[in-house]
Amino acid sequence: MDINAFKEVFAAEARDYLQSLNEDLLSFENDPANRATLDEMFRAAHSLKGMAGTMGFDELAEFTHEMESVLDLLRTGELMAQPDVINVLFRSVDTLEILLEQTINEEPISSFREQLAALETLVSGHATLNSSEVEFSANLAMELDEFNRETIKQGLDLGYNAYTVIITLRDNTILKSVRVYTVFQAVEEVATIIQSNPSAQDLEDEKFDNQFGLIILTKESSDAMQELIEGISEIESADVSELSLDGSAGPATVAPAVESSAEIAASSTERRGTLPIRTQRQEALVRVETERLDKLINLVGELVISRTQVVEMTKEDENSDQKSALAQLDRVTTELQYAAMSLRMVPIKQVFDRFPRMVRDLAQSSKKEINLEIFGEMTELDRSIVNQIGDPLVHLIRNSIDHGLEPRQERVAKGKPPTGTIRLGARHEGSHILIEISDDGQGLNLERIRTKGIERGLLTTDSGEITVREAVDLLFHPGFSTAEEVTDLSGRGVGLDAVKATVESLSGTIDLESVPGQSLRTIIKLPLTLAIIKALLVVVDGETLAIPIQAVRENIQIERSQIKTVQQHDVILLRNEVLPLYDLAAVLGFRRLDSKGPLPVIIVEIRGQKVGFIVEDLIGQQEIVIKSLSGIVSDIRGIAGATVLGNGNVALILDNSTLIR
Amino acid sequence: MAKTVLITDDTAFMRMTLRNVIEKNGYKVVGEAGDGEEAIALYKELNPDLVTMDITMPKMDGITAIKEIMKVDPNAKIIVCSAMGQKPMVIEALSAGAKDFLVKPFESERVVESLRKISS
Repeated sequence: MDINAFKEVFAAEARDYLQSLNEDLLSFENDPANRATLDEMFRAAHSLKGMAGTMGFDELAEFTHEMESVLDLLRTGELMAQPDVINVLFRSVDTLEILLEQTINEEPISSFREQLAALETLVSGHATLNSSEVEFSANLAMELDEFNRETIKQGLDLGYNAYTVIITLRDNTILKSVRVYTVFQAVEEVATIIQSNPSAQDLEDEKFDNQFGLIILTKESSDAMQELIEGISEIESADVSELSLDGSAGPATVAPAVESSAEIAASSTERRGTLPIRTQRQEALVRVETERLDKLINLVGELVISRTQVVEMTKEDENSDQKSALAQLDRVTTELQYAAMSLRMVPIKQVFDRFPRMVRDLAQSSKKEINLEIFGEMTELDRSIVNQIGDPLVHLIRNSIDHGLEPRQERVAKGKPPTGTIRLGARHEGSHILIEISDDGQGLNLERIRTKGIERGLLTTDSGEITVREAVDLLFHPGFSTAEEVTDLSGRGVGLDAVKATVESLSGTIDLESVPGQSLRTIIKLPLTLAIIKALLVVVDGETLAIPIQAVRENIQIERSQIKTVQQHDVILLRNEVLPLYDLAAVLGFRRLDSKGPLPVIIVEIRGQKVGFIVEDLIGQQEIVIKSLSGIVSDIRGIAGATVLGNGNVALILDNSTLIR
Repeated sequence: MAKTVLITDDTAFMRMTLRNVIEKNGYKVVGEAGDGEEAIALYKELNPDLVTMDITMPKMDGITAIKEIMKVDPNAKIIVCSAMGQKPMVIEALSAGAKDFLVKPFESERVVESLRKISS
């Protein structure tokens, strides 16, 4: 079958299982007595194995098989949930994740053997001994004992037929013993099985090659018996012959080959009992490719624009029928737009889900006791933001653990609870989402930040004590931290400027609050969606441009005479602050304006620095639908995309972060 | 007339692959069930000629579902689907009335053989 067509479904479902494995493992570690969690994990591994096998992903199937075995031993109680066992499982989930992604992306498979061996050790350390040491005789001629001989004789007297049946299974038969069972089931509907060779027990233990013999009594003809048995799956042939009671059982000599002990050992790990039931299942969900979703959203965007055009064109019309029809079109389009936007929204849970595991690992390696509290994980925001906000959050949480939370003893000495707490949460506020990360660690170390600020030349040597506010500003300053200090800095604020840059590229803002010695709180404010933004429309060289409002601080008017020059660069003085001044036309390579009158200037914040841009004219604020540019115009410095305005004209959207160097 | 089949498996992926094999070989998949309860309901509604039944499923496992379906229709033709290492459960399913079994990962030929043999 063409398996590649199913790869996407496989990938999506497999990732879900992996995620639930990770989550369940965390709760299992906290509550090893919880049978339901264990069952859930077992089921996840089991399903993954089946899916991987079907796709022909042998490494994945092999690995998940071993995980399943370990989980089963835990279920049966043969293996205890010791910390080392749980750690092996955690690492296995990590390995599995890598293995899965490499398999899906058809990348070379990196080494997973070591981790596989770790799992195998857990399994083999607890393998039952009885099955691997069985020997059995190779010569198994079917000899009738006195009792069976008597039974057959009576049967023949009553008009039954006695047959010897030699049944051959196909070479690659899976679960041979179960196949034998189906044969027995079918045969016993019309016949009595007097004897089998090998014995029923050996057949069940799969101690035979691919042939076995039966002696049966039946009223059916030999042809009917043959047809019946050959009608069963995986049966190569069934030779049915009359049994004569003279001497031994004639052709009923079947010599099964001895199977490798490995195979026998493998069958010893068969499990008993019914399987658990997965408790929660997401129903009423349809998986849709994101590409199709994006296309729909794009088309709705186009529709919204056309609607605006139509409404604008007929503004002066007096026809009231037309007016009410247009009003209806307007309403429906707006609703459709909201509905389409909601398709882009996903719960932030997708990002938060990775943190319990990360915090657990970091807590273990840093030997701190940490309690992670998560709230508001169902808060929804734009999918593209969700995809990008993960790394900054990782950064902030790592900071909290590495530099914020104190070791147990230090906390006790300070009179704090021995276990540190990190709170991570999200909530909606207007058209924004607020993400908060707080910890009850040592907060900002003002003195250390001051010293470092002086070292970096950001503060003068004679500057006295700094406030929390000033410390925060320093932390976000691009020149404050450098890469080589990531590991040895024990204060706060490693690479916070990088976090800030990411947040700002998502049209968001970030702020820190701290009570030194007690707490630190980071608040990230993000727009709900990136598809529609508020923008300030300006005119430069006759062209309309859109500046995302997020970055705009204010608009002012200046006279030419107010422009000063510092080190050959234009600046203006605004409330005692010296701001670099650019002519937007010059920055973009447009024609400069040479007017004598007052100049409109937009003050924009770029990487924490306020900058003034001279423009030709201001139009006003408007909500715009962002269209990304593609092809050769996809990567132009200073341009983030384009939008179609109500009058049908195209306006370029400025990308503040890359506008000037 | 093409024989009708009801597929039962809790993973959408397995349902898809099975449907693909089954439909390519001249059978008609009339329904897909995600658990035992759904399988019973769909069996009553669709009365399919053949049923594939996964063992490990949420809400109601395949063995219970087989028993229930056999109560409704003693002539139901059910193929139980298992993964490696579920031998005792396969046997339980067979004794509950399943006519044949398949082991994951499925090979198209085996699936087709099983469908053909139990429906004849």
